[in-house]
Amino acid sequence: MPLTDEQRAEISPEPLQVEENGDGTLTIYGSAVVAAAASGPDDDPQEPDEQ
Amino acid sequence: MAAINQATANNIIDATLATNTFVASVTGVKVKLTTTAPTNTTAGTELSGTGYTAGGTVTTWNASSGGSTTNITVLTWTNNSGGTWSIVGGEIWDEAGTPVRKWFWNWTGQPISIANGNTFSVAAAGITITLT
Repeated sequence: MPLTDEQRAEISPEPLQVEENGDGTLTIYGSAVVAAAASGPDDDPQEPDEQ
Repeated sequence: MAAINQATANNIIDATLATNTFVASVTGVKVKLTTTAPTNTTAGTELSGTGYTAGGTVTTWNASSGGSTTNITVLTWTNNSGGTWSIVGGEIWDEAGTPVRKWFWNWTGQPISIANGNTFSVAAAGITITLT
C-alpha cells in the first residue's frame, strides 16, 4: 500500500525518495549538495543596463 | 552554508598560495551521520544506536570533474535501536590517528525521521561535493 501524505510528512518536511521493502519496513534515501564557493569577481560579468 | 571545514578551507588557501603545505586526507574517508546541524567550526552530534557504527562508513569517491565529485559507495544504515532516528547532517572525516573533519552538510529535507526497522540510504551520487 503506498505511503500516505501523512506518513511521508512524518519522515521529512520535504518529499524524499521512499521505497517500501515489502516486509513492512521502508528505505528512505538521503541526498545532499555540498558546495564550497570562493567569493570573487564575476567570471562573466553582465553588461550594465542602458540608462 | 554547509560545505567545508574551516581548517580545511584555510589549508587549501595556504597550500595554493604556497604559505603552507597541503595536508591530504588519510585514506579511508568516512561519512558520519549527525543529529544536529554541523557548522564550519563545530561538528554535529554523531548519531548513536544499534544499526549505526560510531565513526561512520568508509566511502569512496569519483575523481573530480568540473569542480565537482560524487560518492561511489552506496551507504545504508538500518535502524535497530528500538527508537526513531532524527538525522540532520552529514560529515566527512578522514582516518588519521586523530580523525580530521573535512566536509559537512545538512541532508535535503532534514530532519529525516527513520523509525525503528527502517533504513536510511544514500545512493551512489547521492552526495555531490562542489568547489567553485
